[in-house]
Amino acid sequence: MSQSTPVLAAHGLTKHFRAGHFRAGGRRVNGRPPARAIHAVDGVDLELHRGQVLAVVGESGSGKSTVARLLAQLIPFTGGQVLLDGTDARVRGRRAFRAYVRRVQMIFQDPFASLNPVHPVRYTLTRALRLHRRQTEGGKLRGAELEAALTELLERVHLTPAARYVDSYPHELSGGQRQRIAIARALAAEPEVLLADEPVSMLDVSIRLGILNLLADLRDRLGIAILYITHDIASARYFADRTTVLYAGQVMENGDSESVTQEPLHPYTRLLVASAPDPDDLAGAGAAAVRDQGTGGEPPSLVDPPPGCRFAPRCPYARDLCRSETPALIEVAPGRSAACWGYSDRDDRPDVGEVAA
Amino acid sequence: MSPTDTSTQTSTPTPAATPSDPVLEIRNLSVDYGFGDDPTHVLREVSLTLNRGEVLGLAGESGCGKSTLAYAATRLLPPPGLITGGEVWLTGRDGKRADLLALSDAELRAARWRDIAIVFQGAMSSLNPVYRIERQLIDGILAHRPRTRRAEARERAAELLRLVGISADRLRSYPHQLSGGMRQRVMIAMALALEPQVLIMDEPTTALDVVMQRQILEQVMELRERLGFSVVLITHDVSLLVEVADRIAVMYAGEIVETAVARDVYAKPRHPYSAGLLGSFPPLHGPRRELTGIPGAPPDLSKRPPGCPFAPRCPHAMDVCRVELPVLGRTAQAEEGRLVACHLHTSGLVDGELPELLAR
Repeated sequence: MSQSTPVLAAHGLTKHFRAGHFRAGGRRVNGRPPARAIHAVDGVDLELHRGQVLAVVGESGSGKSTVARLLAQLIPFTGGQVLLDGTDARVRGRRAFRAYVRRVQMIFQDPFASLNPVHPVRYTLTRALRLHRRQTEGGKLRGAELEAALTELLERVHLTPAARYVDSYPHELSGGQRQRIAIARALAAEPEVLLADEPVSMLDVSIRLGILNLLADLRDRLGIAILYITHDIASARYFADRTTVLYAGQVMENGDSESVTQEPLHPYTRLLVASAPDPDDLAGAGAAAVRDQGTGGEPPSLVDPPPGCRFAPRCPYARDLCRSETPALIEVAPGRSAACWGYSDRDDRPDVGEVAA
Repeated sequence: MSPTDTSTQTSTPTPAATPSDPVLEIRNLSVDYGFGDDPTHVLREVSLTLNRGEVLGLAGESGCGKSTLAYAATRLLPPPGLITGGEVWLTGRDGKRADLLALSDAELRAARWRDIAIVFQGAMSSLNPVYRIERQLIDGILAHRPRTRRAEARERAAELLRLVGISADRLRSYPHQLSGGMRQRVMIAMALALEPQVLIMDEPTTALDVVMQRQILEQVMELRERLGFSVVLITHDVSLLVEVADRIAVMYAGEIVETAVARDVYAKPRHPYSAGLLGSFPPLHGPRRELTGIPGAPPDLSKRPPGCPFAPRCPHAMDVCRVELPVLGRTAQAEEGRLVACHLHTSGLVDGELPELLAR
């Protein structure tokens, strides 16, 4: 599957948050029950390649934002590995973290909250430039050199003429322009990886496309690897090369975006695709399909989840096997895999139907 | 796409009610924000009609005034919002018509919830976290029907919960014990408590996942058929509206720029903005198509230029667009039941023909 070493990869990435009484640590303390673990992310494997966009699609609470934060190492992971260019990249301490974020940058969902309102664009960008480029260029970036770098950054995110934006404050900019500034700030580090956590979901529909096209342009021109976290599977089809579907903290399906959206393998992906609004579907076929897919119920509680497939309680095909053993990702076709017993060769596997063509 | 054959189960969309039976008529409603010498005109003479039994979709980007329209029509608009003109005619079940904007406070209090109910945007923040669901449901019933006995109201609350697919033992739950989807259903149950004629839903599913969104909207549509109310559905998601609404009104910068039957808006948009909006959604099904998006950003309503508010972003803008504000009128094709506010459709102004995209 992998043609080259991925820039950033995660193997068995796991994050458990502690729930309940914090210091209980497995014993009863002061009569309270022991702390329980929220299995937010459980054994997720991801690979980000240069010049490619990987979309991580899932409902809220599926752990997709946690994945982004773990990869950015903003929060420590409980288990698994993060590999940067094939070498273990778990950071310990500030220096290592800074060296890491120089190569892996993050864009946040809300450009209204991620830019400091009391500082003009110049401050925000200068700070990022100085933090990340000081060592490579020796001495503080200043004067004409700084101006040139600022202009270049703003031009890269298509905010031209740069002079018009460099001294404005975030409140003077529209949502789309703000998100461009946030992207420019990430680019200041000249990163190899961009982690974009729902970069367009707070923006107006008419300007979302502009931001996605900008990110696609950065991918093509600078060869940056992009992780695109989204709940909108249609935009994943449009923008991402590959798509990973996450449900209740686990990967359900992997594959190139076109096949994942057009011929979903996993029952959950099928439900997701059928639920998306479809203006062309005038006969209401999607609605009927959703009813057949057995939508009853909601994502399971992630506090000490039971064994078995996490989608099993909602899955119309689920059998005893699904409720007792957790399926691993099974390669169904080249480059496509699904964590569903239906694609295994076990005798007691459920019948999930033919792979829809 | 789906493994199952769905031909036998296709739901037949309900035909729109006869256009001569309006339940809510908004006429020339204007709203300003700010009391000073220089208020921002957020709504300018907006007119809209909701027919009985209809689902009317109100589409537009954030800040275009779609929520303001709903709140102004129900007189829920908080200061500094100020209604500066217009009428809102509500036809009661008994056929009596009343102007909501002219009602006394007592009359208005009685009409809200009983005639018009709203499902607010964030269910999370609309339910009181310190009271049980039961108390919040009963509260509205008792306020409007003070002679109801508590046990009766409780019975009604349980019935309402069952109506939206929640088991009645959830009555004793606090909001935080419910999932987001359930909270939204509780909000809908509350809105339906007094069997209103008009249900206004302000982005009811924006905070929910697509699967939950579909479940909830289908439930509302089913209840509408069963209980016979009309729905105003406010959302920025046009593709959703095309599927669930009977009619769509597209708003831009405080004005309605196009109204038409839902399918026509999708298949044959007449306003360049509607066309651009539809071209901004990547399709999930069907062939991949070229996406255009709309250049620029929505205008700042406090610095509105003369002429058409969409002109700076419009690919077909003409000289007249920058000078003169277009009014809602017939389309160039003179279609039945369609209105558009665009100079391209005003005869005599277009040199040559309509742009291809708008002439399908």
